[in-house]
Amino acid sequence: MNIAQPVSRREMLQTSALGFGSLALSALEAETASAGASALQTRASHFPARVKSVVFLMQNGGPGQMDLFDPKPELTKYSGKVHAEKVEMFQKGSEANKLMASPLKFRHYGACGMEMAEILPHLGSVADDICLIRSAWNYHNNHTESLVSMNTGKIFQGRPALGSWVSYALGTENQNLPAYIVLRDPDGYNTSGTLLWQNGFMPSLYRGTEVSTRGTPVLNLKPARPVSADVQRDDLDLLARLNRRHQRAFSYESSLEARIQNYELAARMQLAASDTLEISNETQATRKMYGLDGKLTAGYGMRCLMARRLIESGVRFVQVFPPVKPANQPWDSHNNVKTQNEQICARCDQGSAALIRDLKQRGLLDSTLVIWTGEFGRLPVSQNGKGRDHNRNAFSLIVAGGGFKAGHIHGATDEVGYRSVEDRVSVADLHATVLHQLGFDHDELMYLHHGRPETLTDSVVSEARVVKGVLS
Amino acid sequence: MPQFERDIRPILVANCLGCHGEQKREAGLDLRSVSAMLAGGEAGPVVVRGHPEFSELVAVLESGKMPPEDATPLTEQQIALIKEWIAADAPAVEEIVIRYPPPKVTDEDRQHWAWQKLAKHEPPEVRQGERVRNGLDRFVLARLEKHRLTYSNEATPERLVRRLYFDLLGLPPSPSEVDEFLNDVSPRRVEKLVDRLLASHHFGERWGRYWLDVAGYVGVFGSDNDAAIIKQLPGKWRYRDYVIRSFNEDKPFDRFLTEQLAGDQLSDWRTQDVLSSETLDSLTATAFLLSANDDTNAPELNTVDTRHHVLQRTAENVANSLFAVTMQCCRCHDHKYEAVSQVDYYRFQSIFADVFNVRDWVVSDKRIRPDISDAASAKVDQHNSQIDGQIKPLKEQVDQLKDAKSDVEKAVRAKLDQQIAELNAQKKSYGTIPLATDSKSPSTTHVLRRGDYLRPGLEVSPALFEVFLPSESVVAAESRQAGGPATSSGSSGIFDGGGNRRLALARAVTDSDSLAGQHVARVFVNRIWQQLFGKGLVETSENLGVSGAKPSHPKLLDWLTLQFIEDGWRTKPLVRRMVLASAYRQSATLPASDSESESRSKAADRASPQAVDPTNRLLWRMNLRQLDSEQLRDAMLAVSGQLDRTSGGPPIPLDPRPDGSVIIKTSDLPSGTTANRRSVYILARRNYQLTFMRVFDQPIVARNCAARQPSAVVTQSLALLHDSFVFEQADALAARVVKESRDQSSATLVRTAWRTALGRYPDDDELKLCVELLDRHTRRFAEQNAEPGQSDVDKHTKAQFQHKALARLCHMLLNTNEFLYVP
Repeated sequence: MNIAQPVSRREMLQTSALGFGSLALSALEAETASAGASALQTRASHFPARVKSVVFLMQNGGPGQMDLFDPKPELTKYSGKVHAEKVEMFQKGSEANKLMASPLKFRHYGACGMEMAEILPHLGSVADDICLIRSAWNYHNNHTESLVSMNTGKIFQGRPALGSWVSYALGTENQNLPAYIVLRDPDGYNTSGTLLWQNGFMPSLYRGTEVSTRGTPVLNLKPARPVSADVQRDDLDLLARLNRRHQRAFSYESSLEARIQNYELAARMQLAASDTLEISNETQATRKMYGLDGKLTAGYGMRCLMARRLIESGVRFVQVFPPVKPANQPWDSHNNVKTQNEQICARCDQGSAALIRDLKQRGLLDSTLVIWTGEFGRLPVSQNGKGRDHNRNAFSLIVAGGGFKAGHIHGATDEVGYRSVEDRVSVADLHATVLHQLGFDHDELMYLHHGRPETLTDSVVSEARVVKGVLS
Repeated sequence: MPQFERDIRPILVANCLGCHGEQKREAGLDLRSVSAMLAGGEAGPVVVRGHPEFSELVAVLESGKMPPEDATPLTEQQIALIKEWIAADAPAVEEIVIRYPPPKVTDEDRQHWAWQKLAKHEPPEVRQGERVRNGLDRFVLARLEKHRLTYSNEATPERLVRRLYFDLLGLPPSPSEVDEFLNDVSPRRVEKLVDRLLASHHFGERWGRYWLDVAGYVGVFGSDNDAAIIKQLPGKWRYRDYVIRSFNEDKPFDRFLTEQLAGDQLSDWRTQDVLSSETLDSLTATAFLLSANDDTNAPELNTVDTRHHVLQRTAENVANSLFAVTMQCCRCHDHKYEAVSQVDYYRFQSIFADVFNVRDWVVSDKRIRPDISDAASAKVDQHNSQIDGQIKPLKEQVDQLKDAKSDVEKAVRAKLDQQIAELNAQKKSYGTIPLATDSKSPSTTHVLRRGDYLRPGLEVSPALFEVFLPSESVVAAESRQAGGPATSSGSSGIFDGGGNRRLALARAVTDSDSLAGQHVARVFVNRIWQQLFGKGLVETSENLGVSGAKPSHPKLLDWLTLQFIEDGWRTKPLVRRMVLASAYRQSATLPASDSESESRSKAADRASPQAVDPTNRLLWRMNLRQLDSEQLRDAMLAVSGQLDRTSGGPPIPLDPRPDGSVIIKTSDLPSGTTANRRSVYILARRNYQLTFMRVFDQPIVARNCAARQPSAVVTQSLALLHDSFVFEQADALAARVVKESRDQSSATLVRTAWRTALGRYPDDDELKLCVELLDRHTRRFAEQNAEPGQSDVDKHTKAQFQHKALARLCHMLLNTNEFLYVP
């Protein structure tokens, strides 16, 4: 490649032999021309896409694989014994290195007979529709670093989230809604909050937009003080006229046009967002399926239902977060594996499963990926008696829909579930595979930043590859 | 502690030197000296100082691979001794010389324009001498003339005064300030205005804010990942004030940089009884090095891994803020496009290994010190503990009386409480400043294979990037391999031989005769240009490398930089030179395209600028620029009359709300107007910034930022329309307009509103549109409030409706693009 003396970034992109010319160029235009919604046009993919949207159910805290998804008879057998391999501890409390059997029972689910915990009856009921990956691993033992890498590819802050890459690559199908939407508990943020939907070095257009399932759905969507419709219309007409007059003298500045249009978009968004978020036309059966009638299940269930409605409306990427109560990293079972898992499963199992079932019933699961994952797993040894500490070396995750094998188990951990050993899947592999299903080669989808063509997976470092074994 | 010549060498002589010594050098390996072992053989270094576990020497001895089969293996004690010796950093009597790998920078690499020293260029002759205000114009006009182009007309005085206020102070002019300029008949009125603005204390707030971006300043120390948990580093804000003060005082940039890189090495502050304000400034300045996020205050994150990351991020930030090169990739491998190698990266990183000593780490929340001398603070501490000693027995008495029922007992307790309060009042206190300083002598720095600290390789010593060193000096360093001890040679950019590495760096990057110093000046000058013209002469102000953009006016950049150096590295003369030039004073509007002007340009044999240079790289007009987040918020406060112009002091706190918005925490502010201070004084977080500013592209501070990325997204329109802050400013603006209008006719109110918000009067059409809206709204509000059967409202109520209507109009004026852009 010859980029020794590029005349400009534009020229470099156009002439570069890296094969990302037109794609990255259009984003560069978005970066420099500060275009408004127009930059979120659907782009051409590298090869035919299998799916067109993603729901990312981010199970913050680190769900324990050996307690929920990955039964380990050997762990039960040697429970209480000192493990031969000294495990990598993060916090205090596991110094004894003593193996601990799972206090939770497993059972077989579905025609495929997939083994998962009894406290996951709902996810179990869709076992034949999901692909269970038992050999995932991440890069760091702290929540923040691991969450940041799960959502942006690397443990360091400042990179665009997976959702940003997807909306950068695919744009949106609905020009009245953001391409990338975040649904979190209206009561607060989980660990690392907004870091997990940052645009990083991309323009803020690609940042995740928080939509609330309670109160005003989007920040500033409604005026802080009441303004009647006729007054607002009159105001906006004046504003448009003044802005048009102003624009004449500066017609070279494209952001002026974007802003003029944005005021109209803002008005349309008020309606579109309200329409999408209005669930009164959902049937009683649907609401029940998501657990909207249950005290514990309603909050997360509502976010899962909203995710389906947004996907239906053409949103590309929806990130759903678990409840922040009783704990803001709810899967983090340091103290008591049994009670802490029971607590959070009672809140999150039903909604997750309902989303998968609902999408399938509506024929949307073929074109949608649903990802259910934590940031890491847990250790096979006990911590503080009944808990388990963080473990980046192994965890389980679920992917359902769009071209992933259904009723399938991929990979395996060692005999006690400490380390992923068979068909290991790194976070970067997962990202590469997701982009692949969306029609993009993870090495080709680039964004030029500080002179470096950045990719989501940075496979030179991460050695990311598409996990063919999980694809049907 | 084992020592090489005494303890280790004899073992090697007896067992190893036969094959790896003077006579033979199998595998290219020479074990006769520590320096030779650090350089290693064909397979790289065999000793990694401090790390027996990564030292090949130990590995081959322990595995029995060496000595070979027929020779006697070393004893366990011997191997243990060697390990102990390596763990202790391999001490030796010999002077250890770190050998330099062969130079990687080729002559071709050195041809890149940014790796050239500044060249002297005379400002060229131009045909249109009448548009030349200073040398700068000659360079720009010459290029334009070559393309048969010329400058646009001068901006109108209304637009010029607005532009200058925003660019120099970050604030719009008040109506009276506009008048003062418009009514000045002096031919030097622009110069007078510029000098007045340069002397304003708001200048430092505007330009200091930019440097804070470049430095990656935040008031917190960690990764700031949780909205609700705000970990401020005590006194970090004093660095912000130091920066603002430095710009206001026009501190020479070379001095400014030296203080920030090595302010702790400029004086003997550790032994001084009194810290002068100059010393305090120098110490505070080192907070420049505390930009990287550092979570090592949390014990579980205080790992070697994290420490290395902090050190790496720090070096990367400094490199980008000084040199405008991006070197993150060199953590793991040589840069693919730039002449920066992995060895360069770790050499540069080792400059900061005294502050960020991975083996003797100072955790992130302890990088502070008292703002008085150690002696003085010890006295205060002693004084206070003495008082605590007196308070203790009184408190015990109070405790005994806590269930007091009788009046007598209650009275005794009240008296005790009072005594305690009086004693507490006698306590003294001192403030806190941030401080980056060395802790013990730095441990050795190694190239980390693939950036992994568990795979240390070649040992390196502090140096500038090879590309900054004259090729002779690299050769000289090379030749030292042959023998001769290394000499400390700060000016050559190689800082080995001990001493203060950061001070050596500071000297090197402010040496105006060296490439490094000239480059640092050039990077700064380009960034100043960017802030005034919208784009740098090199558009990629964060990247002057091969993968960055080329300068549009390379000779001008050299000329400006040399002028800057000649002016003693002062910012104000540089800014002055730029804004007084005709280039800056052009109109940003497109030339009228009516047939008359067409024919005129034809007559003058001029090309159409939009056809020749649509992106305006040649500067045939000024660029329209969007206000940044601080300018926008400050401008709203300024025109509404609510701006509190107090400077300095602790940050204005933020309140992250459950709905995701972040507002100013007003509950315990010192005064009612504090919330309305300039935006630079709001708590600087990495994330979760004031929502109104975040929406307008205030950057997330994961790294430093050389140029804001303006966007035009719908959330901005929503914020301008619906955010309560804008409602409040619109109300205040309306009230101000009512007060400052001669009469209360709709036309007068509209005219005053325009002049206050936008710095000009509306033209007839604009006036008409606005008066009509105002009257319609007034009627609407009156009708909505009219009681049934009541036909007219009294005058007082009518005025209320008019004011309400006026607030709507003001709200829209604050929404206009005219308000949002520097004309």
